[in-house]
Amino acid sequence: MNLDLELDAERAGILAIAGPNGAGKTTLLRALAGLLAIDRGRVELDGEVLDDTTSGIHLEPEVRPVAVVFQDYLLFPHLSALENVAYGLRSRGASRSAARQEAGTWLERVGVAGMAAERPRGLSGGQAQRVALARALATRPALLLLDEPLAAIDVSARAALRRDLRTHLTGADGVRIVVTHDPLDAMAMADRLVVMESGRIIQQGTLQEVTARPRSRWVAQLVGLNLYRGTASGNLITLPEGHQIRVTGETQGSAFAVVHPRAVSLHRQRPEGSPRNVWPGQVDGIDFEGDRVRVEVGGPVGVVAEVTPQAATELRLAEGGRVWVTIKATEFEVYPT
Amino acid sequence: MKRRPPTAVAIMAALAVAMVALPLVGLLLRTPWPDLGPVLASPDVRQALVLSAECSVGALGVSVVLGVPLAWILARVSFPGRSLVRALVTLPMVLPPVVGGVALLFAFGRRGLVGQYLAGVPGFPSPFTTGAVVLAEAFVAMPFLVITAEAGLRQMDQRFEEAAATLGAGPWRRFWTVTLPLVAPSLAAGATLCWARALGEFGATITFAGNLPGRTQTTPTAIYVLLESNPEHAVAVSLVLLTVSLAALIGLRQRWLGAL
Repeated sequence: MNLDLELDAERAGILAIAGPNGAGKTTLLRALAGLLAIDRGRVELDGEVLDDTTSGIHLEPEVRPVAVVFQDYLLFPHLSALENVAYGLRSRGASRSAARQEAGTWLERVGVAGMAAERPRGLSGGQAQRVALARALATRPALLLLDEPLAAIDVSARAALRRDLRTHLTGADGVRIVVTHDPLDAMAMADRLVVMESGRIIQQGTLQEVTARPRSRWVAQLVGLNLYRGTASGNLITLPEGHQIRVTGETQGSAFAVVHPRAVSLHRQRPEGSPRNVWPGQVDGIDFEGDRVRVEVGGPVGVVAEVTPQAATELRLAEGGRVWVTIKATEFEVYPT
Repeated sequence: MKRRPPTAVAIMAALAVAMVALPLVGLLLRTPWPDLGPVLASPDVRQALVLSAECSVGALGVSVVLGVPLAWILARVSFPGRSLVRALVTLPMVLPPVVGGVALLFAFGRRGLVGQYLAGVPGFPSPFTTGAVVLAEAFVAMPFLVITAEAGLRQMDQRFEEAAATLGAGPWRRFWTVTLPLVAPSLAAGATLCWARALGEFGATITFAGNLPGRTQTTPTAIYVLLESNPEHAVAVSLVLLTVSLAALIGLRQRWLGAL
């Protein structure tokens, strides 16, 4: 895994580092925590140098003012919830009673005071997550890192916990960075968003800035758009495999083209008509979402279309079936990379 | 679905059980139950039992102090020749104990590799001293502790140590408060095996430490001598070791059957 990036994070607001699995987000998080040595570069927090390869500085995790909420929480199985939360305080020199008292306060703050004496195996997913958060917050870190904080949570419980997490994070001091692959997490918690792909930062900015011009599959998925990348020459964009999309505008060179699924039309037979973009495909998947139907069409140029349930029935759409896709050139938004 | 074993297989299995059970049953039947108390209280026997207890615990202590750090390095540190070191440390498990005793004799004896320099030093385990008993027992028993401890350390999720580090715990604190508690079951099993093995050692102790009552005559060697002079007493003392072994086995239970 090769990481190559420059990152700035403020105390104000929550920063979300998002992207597909394998993008290098967890690697970055581990490097910031000091669990991973970097080959070249510099990490600075509040003016304190944590890493600097040119002067050979590498601060071990135990002396960094950094706390981590791990994906699997990693609550010590042989300690109670209270003792887990007190662990960081004890490590930093607090007496047993003082640490336990403060730990109790933190458990109350995250809403699991009643489980103080429980061992981790007796906690539900949501409770464990909160104990892990309390354990990290108790050390009052200058940098708080969360690695996929909701990944291990039941889908049904996720929405409520997401809101809770946002509340707790908003109330905390210091730089807060949440690493996630889930667009919903990013949308709910990010004040600023950094999108990573293959070890590099593809886009960054506020949610609005990033989603206005998607530059990665991940962001396109977040906003529900079809994203293509190719070489533009005015009205034509040539995709990597040689296929071409007809668009409007005068963009030249490397460019992105996005089109909303609603603007994609499906037909049973090759249609005639004005749309400049016509190609065949097969139905890879159909998702019924209330009053809309999302259809994944595979083929030389993959695309996601959105049709009404009636249309889906009329077209007799079924997985594996053949369809024709048409998109008007005017529906594409094109911008340089 | 209840499975009916083929007859031949069942017969062989029954013979296997008999091979192990019959001698032990015979021992129990031969035990002079009324004389048990006086025999075990007699000075020679008591001396051997006490020495065995002291030396086996001493051997366990040596094994823990030296073996646990070794297990830690084998499990966590990658270095050239690691598999060689592991094989070497496991060797006493398969080496004939008497061979181990001979080797110790020629290393720690007055003209031995180590002995020639340190023979005069007080506490040095010269041949035919009590220290030699502890050394011989540790020699054969330590591998059990090292192997079990290493397995436990490998199996343990090291990410807990990472979590402890991010919470401000340095290497020592991580080891005492996270690693040790998490491998404690493996360590306990290893220590039990180690101690039981040390207690029962015969070949290495009699070769390297001899059979001097009060000084190097442990319970196994005492039993051996008793067999000539008073077989019934030998059976009585054997019962003690048999009971201890059973107790150790019961103590290990699932642990042992699973971990090995």
